[in-house]
Amino acid sequence: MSASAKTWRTLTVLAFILPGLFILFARYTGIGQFMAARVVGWPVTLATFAIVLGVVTFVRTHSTLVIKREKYWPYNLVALLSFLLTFGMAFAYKPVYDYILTNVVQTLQIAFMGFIGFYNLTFFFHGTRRRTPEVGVLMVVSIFVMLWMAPIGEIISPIFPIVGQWLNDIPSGGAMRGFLICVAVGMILQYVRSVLGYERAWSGGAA
Amino acid sequence: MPGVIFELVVLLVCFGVVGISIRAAKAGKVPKVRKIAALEGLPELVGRAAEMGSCVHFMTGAGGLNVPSYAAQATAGLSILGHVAELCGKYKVPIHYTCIYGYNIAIAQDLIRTGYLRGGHPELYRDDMIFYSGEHQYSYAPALMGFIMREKPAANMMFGEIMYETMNTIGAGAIAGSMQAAGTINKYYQCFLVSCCDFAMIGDELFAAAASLRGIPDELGGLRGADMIKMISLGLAALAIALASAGSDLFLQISKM
Repeated sequence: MSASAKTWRTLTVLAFILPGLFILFARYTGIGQFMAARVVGWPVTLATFAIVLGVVTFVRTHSTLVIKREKYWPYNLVALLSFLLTFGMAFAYKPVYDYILTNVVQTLQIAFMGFIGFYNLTFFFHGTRRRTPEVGVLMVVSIFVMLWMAPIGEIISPIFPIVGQWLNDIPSGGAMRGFLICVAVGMILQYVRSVLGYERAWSGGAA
Repeated sequence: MPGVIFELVVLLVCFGVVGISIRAAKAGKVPKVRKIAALEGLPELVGRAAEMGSCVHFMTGAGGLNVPSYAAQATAGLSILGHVAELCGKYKVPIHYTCIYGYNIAIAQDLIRTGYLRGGHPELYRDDMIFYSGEHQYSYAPALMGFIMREKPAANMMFGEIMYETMNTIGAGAIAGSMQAAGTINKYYQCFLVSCCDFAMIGDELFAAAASLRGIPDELGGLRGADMIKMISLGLAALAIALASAGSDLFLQISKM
């Protein structure tokens, strides 16, 4: 790595570490809390600006694929035209933009949520590929818990609500708490590694 | 603020334990890390893509670096992306990364470009290996499903802050016949990953995998530190349970300091 690249990398790591340390300092000393709150909001602002990068990439990628007549290029054309129409109308003619949002985007969102609901119901059928005893236990527990939550379970048998609730509260609840402790410690490790400069994947390739 | 002193003490203990473990590893006491099946399986997945003349699909999920509670997972996912890109460079396999945030484009481009460089085939890298779907899960999930059904990647990998789009992706991957590997700390998705993926990282294995990718003693030392913190946490939990059972609220009072 060249000297300028190293300097740039060091600056990037410092730009990550220093605000983090300042936020911790403000939290535990009470000094500069207003500024720390502002610093916490910076990533959202930066991410918003990065949308421009996304838009440029989106237009460039799809238009290149359309121009080259790559496989499935009509899909790219639809994506590109949809974007340009919505984006253009937001500035040129607001009623059309509102119409698109209400009658196209929202409708598609509702349809997609409906699709996801059905998809989730059938998910285990087409997704499960392991045929292990553990997955069998998972399926049985799922059935009991679902029949505990659904009113029909009690109608079928009074055992379903009792067993379902026990499975949910005792084995599952305990396992979840243990799981959360491990995960929290893992997150702390990840932050410590980031603060110490070992984790730099967020800054790109030289991580 | 109640609990701040306790929180600070816990944080300092964590930093101290991890710091001491890293120092010990640097001094030569490198801990042995058990094999993480999903991490060991990554070359197998990339190798399958090479044999089939297909590609690898990678996603880090809908959680981004701009949300504090998601950033740790997203970072771990990006670390694994860099590693997978290197494997792809080695095996001459195209990798496609699908992202939901604009800033991920630049990060992923850099990671994949460097990965191919390290793998020995920088000429295989193309900017359009990164596919941006828009800033919402409503666009992300269908884009992922469409991409997988069109390209039919031999390997489908999902590591990071993955949410409900994971189920759509795994379902599409199953239909497309992809080998799948995934890892997240989101507890609601563990059952799906375990039952539907060929390789799954359960809970904090994601962080352990990210830390042990390069096998550097310092990082492995950090892992030992994390294990020690877990032991301390379990000990404190047992103590708290014992005290509470004996009718004492001492631990509760300390935690509110």
